[in-house]
Amino acid sequence: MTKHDLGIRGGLVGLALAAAGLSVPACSDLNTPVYFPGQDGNGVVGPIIAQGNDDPLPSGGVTLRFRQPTMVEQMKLDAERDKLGYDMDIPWVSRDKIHLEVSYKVTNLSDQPGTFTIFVDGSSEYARYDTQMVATALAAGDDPPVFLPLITTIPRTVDPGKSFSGIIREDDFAEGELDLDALVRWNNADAADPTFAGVLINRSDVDAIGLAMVPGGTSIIPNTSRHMLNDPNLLVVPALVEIDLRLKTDANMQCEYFIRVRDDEDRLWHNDADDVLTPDPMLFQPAVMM
Amino acid sequence: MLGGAPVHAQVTSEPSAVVFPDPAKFATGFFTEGEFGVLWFSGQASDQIAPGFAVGARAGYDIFRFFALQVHMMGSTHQSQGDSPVAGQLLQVYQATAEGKLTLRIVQFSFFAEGGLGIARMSSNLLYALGLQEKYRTGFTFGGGGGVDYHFLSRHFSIGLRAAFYVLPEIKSSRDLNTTMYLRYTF
Repeated sequence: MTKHDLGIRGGLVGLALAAAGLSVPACSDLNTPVYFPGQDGNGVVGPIIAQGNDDPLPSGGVTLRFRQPTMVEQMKLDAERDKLGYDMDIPWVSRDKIHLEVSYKVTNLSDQPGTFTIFVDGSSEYARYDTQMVATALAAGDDPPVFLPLITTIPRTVDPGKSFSGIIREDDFAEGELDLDALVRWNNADAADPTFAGVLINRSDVDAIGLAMVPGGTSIIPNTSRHMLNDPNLLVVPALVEIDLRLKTDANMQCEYFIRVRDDEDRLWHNDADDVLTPDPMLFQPAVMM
Repeated sequence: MLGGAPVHAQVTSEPSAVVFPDPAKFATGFFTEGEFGVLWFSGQASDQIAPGFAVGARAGYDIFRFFALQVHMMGSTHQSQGDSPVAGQLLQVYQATAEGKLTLRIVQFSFFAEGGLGIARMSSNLLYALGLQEKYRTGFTFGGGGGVDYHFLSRHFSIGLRAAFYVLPEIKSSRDLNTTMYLRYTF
């Protein structure tokens, strides 16, 4: 055997070993979301069905189960809280580790065109939000209810028998999760910078109105009336552990949906030996109810 | 006087026909293969999962010239399709099998049949969520296929084309089929 042959052989063996060594971790980290089929209001897997102009709005949702942190992981959370320097817990189910997305398909079951909107509410480890309850609280006389959900889609018109498919993206959830945390843990009662409605209506990266109490605070963007977060990365924002959907329509429609979860650090519960996280979120109530 | 003259060989007849290349001189023993191609599903899963690009590798040993044992790993990437809300999502399929291979060599060509069993793993629970997979992600698989191999004049290298069919019992009424081209190096 020549030196040339030995070189080829060694090169091929090295290449194969390198490819095998690189492919195993690459494959394990590549695209590993977990999908949860949507449930109706009775907790049964299936679509949310609206008859049209429903009151209350038909709803459905999925509660995600997470494992409790180990002692070492809890110590890391405590250390992170000390490092960040604000006196609130660091969420175990956090927005930077748990990424949510909803894929939906709305079908018009009626014989005339109809318009739909999807509202998304839910709860984190600390806070819960219920659009229907808030709308009831805000109701005045015979006026149509005002819905201020954490996340909403734009209204879409669907022809009879046709469907519309869409995605409520991870960045929509990221914004809604910040809003929910602000409403309950960082609520600012100052009338000049109201948290409620201010955070729900505005995207925080466009106008951070209502987020003055969030660690790092806000300041006015020069030459505008808009606010910006002084340190957008300081707060560790809790992710939703429960995702609730409401279907608002003016015709008979159904909404099929899936929740997609990207779990960066294996925090979803899937091992019987682990204890399940049992959060006790506080329900947000607007000032008019209190 | 007689011993001083040099002796020269002399061709006195036509040279006999030489069989070239000589398959007996092809390397045999430990071998590796790298492959790429396409993998698609048949059965119920084909409605929901589109065909995808596949890459794989084999390593094995020729116990005899006509029989080898090999291990095979293959990964493929797919997109979900159809009218489900999760159409358009990505899914990777990883398969690892232990196989036996029978070979019939005819000069530079060889024809082979192979088969085996192993495991198939999905990168996510997408098929489970769609109601197609009875168990989450990892399942048993078995099957086989065949192909043709062409040996270069090099003692070590050959290329080939193969097709295979694998049953995926964990996925409702579904199989996967793949066609790949490969490069083989025999040590």
